[in-house]
Amino acid sequence: MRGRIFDIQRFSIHDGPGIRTLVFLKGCPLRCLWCHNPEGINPDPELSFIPEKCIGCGYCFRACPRHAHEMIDGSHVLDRSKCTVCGACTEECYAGALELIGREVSVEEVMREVLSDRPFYETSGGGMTLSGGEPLMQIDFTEALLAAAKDVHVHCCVETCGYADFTCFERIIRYVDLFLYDVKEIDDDRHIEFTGVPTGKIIENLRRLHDAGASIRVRVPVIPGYNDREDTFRGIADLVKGLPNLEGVELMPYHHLGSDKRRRLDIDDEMPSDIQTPDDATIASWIDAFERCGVTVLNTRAEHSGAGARGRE
Amino acid sequence: MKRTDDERIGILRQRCIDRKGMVSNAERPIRRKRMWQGITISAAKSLRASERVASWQIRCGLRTRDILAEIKFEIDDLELLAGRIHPQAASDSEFEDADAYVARYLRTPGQSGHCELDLPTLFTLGVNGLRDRIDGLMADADDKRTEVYQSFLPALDGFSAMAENAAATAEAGIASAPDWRKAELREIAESCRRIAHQPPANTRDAVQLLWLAQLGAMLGDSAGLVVSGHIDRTLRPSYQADTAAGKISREQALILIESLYLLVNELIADGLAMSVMVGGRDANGDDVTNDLSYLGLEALRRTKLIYPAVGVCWHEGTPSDLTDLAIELIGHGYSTPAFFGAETIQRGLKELGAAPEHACNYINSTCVEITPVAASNVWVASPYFNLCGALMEEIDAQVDSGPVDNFEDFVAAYHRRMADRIARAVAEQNNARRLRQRFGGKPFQSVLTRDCIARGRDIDDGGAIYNWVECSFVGLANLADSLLVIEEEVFKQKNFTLSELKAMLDSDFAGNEATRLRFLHNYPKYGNACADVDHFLADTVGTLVKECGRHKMLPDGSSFVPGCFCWVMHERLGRQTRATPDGRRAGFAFADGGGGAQGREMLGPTAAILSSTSWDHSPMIGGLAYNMKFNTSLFSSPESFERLRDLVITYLRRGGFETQINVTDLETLKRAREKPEEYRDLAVRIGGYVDYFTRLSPEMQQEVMLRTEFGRE
Repeated sequence: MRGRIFDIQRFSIHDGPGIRTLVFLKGCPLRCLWCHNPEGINPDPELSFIPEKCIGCGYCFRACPRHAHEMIDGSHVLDRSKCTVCGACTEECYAGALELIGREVSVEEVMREVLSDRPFYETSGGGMTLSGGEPLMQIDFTEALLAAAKDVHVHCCVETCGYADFTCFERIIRYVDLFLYDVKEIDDDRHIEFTGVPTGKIIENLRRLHDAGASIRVRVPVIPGYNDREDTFRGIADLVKGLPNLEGVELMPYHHLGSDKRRRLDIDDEMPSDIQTPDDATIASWIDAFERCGVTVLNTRAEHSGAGARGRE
Repeated sequence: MKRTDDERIGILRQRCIDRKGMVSNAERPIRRKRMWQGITISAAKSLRASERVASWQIRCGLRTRDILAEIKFEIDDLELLAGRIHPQAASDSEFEDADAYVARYLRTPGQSGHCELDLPTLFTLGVNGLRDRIDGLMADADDKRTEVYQSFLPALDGFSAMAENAAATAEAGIASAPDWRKAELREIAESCRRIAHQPPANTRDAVQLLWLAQLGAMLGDSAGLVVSGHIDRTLRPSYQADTAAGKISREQALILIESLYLLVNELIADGLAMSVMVGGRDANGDDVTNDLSYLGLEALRRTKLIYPAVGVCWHEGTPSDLTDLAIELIGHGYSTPAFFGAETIQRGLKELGAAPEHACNYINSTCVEITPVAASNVWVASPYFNLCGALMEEIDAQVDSGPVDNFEDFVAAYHRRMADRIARAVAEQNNARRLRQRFGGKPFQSVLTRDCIARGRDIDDGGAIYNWVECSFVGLANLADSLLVIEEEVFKQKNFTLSELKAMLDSDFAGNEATRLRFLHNYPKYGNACADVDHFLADTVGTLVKECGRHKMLPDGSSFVPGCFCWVMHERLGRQTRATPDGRRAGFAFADGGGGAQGREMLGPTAAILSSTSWDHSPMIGGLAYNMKFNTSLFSSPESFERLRDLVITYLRRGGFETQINVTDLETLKRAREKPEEYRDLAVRIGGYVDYFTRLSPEMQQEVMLRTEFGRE
């Protein structure tokens, strides 16, 4: 069984309990305006190019069968219309300017890397988290990975946007110790505007998954100027209050990492450029707003004390 | 005005910083220079006066006595311990004359100090008790031992006189002090008078005596860097008695320890190291953690200077509160706490023949080199070996004489070269030992080192129980990374001959940047949990351990002990070394200690830890430091502190020797470089020690900045 991933990230400490290894599966059915993993959207491999890293050695010019790389006025220009994403140039780019995003891997290959950090899972209560992209888009691979991990008693989390056929959930529910389930907006029109898809299936799947007895943590990406609205918060609060067995709600404040990645991949769909990364006070006000609606928020508030400021105990 | 504890320590700390003048203030070197000039003058005066005494050993005792008796102290309006040296004014000609006279006596080479003294015996017997013991032994001693005892006694007299001087300094301030302060000064004076002769009567006495004993060896015997050590073991009997009697509060004990830490910073020049250790096990395997272990760490909060570095001896029975306290301090940017793997270190010490009661009671005797407490004349960092320098020499030699035709022979030749270097270093150290036996003499340190008194021998003449020489191998990761590139590029793929490789390295990859990057990026690097390269490190260490084990040190056939910590030597030796096959440019710093080279740990801290623990650390009693650096942004939640703790514990469980952690961010370091005056107390972890970032060389600052920073978003 093989699948396509775009990264494996070890020592992840924010996506499930303990020290975890995140496996990022490539391909996503949503088109969130603020996507911070844009390299996970397209299911096919992509060529990432960081011109600042290019040292002008010219090896890629020779390697490329389609002559997509050119030196124009002393700077390296990539003509993506000629590029077939064969990856030949990345093999010769020792400077790390060209990189193939997305590789075919077997379950065994992924598990070898995931299991090498096992000593850390044991100390910390961590494990593997499947993320993306959307893991359910490669349901066969996802199921195989989870089964392999469970087979050797590794704690498993799946991060999902929820936009999938419910049969996908049914296939993996017995392997998953915790779902990290995104709820981005409650209003259907706005959800379509922000993500390209309606909310119906997402909310329906959340309810069914909950009723099937899965452990779920709802995650709400909060994007200033988009869904940081009182009525959105209230709508999400009403939804989760109807799901008594949820582990709770975690707010995911927007960060701007995605814009840089878009540039490297020449993704030209309109990324709103005016979104501000929220400060600690803004995040605290969001937490307050949810708590006023009677929701358990799992976030810990940012510490403001620096070294020494805590005094003695 | 009477101050709160917070205010008092805050003011004393600031005065210490101001006196040291970390950035541009020129007073620091003058104060230190004056202190050592004064000591030279005292030594010269003493040696002149003893010219007719035939025994050099006895003259050493008189010298130590006279130096200590002339030490003068200062005490200001807030200090709670006496022990800050008053540098005595001397004219340049007086000093030059004294210096010229002292130079007639051989200044013996070799390491000194780097130990924790036998404080339990001192605290039990007091100076008078030690004198009685020596007197008793002298009755039946032969001539040689009698001579030695005759040097020990005056050294103790000198110590008593020094403690009396400290008392007098405190007394002198009483008359003009406000009422609240009079009582404090009286207490300080009484304490110093008591410990000048008697065992400590309380915790304050014990702390005061601990510091004066350190001074006695460092100044009286010119023993380099005698450490404060296991304060939670040595101060414990006094503290327990005082707490049981309701005579001391935790707060009062804390401020005494803080005062000790400040005195350490006052005395020791920046760029060196001074250690305290807390926690660990006794000979029965029981955990020794107590209140004082926590206070030893807590005292870092308000003092927040580079000294001392506080090591936690971690084992499975270490209370999680102690671990968490150290982690919390680290996460908040304190770079001084470090973790030592008790299990691994004890295994290594037992292997070297340390008795069970010594294998559990060791100190990093100053950076990370390990020596048994109270019983050691162990020379550390003697010497530092440049592993990659030897590799380059081997390449040169083979290019000259015609290269070998397979990689195994190449590696074998390199190992022979290192074996030869080790043999030569051992001969040099033994030569220094021979000279030290004849022309050394450290009577005060001897009295406080087991079994110098029982044997009637000076520490420089084999009086101590442990007389190892510990060395340090620098650049392990660069060597492993380089060997893989040589194997692949020269012997397997045959892309270059050895002489083509040499030409490229000699020219620092001029015109070959793409090749350099191929060497750097195309082959796995140590620090990423990849066995293809990690095995070179294990193989090399295995060979080095075996080679060290073939040698015996004077005077008692002790071991030559391997280590791989660097202090500042990874930068210094890197600066002297050409480009290396791992893609490292000429002059660039080598990797530090047991970790990967700068910027090469691409898979995060877990993989880096797996690499660094892929080989046996226990023989590296000469010291092994493993640096981790995390971005400040990682520590935004309580969970992130727990994850750091999990990393540290996993490292130690896997046999990690020592780990030390910088939590910082590049932006702060950049600003500190631009405006050093605003960041004069920004402390960073270097090769096993802690230093002020702004006083590092530009190259060393760059080395710190280029280390892989985990958790950066």
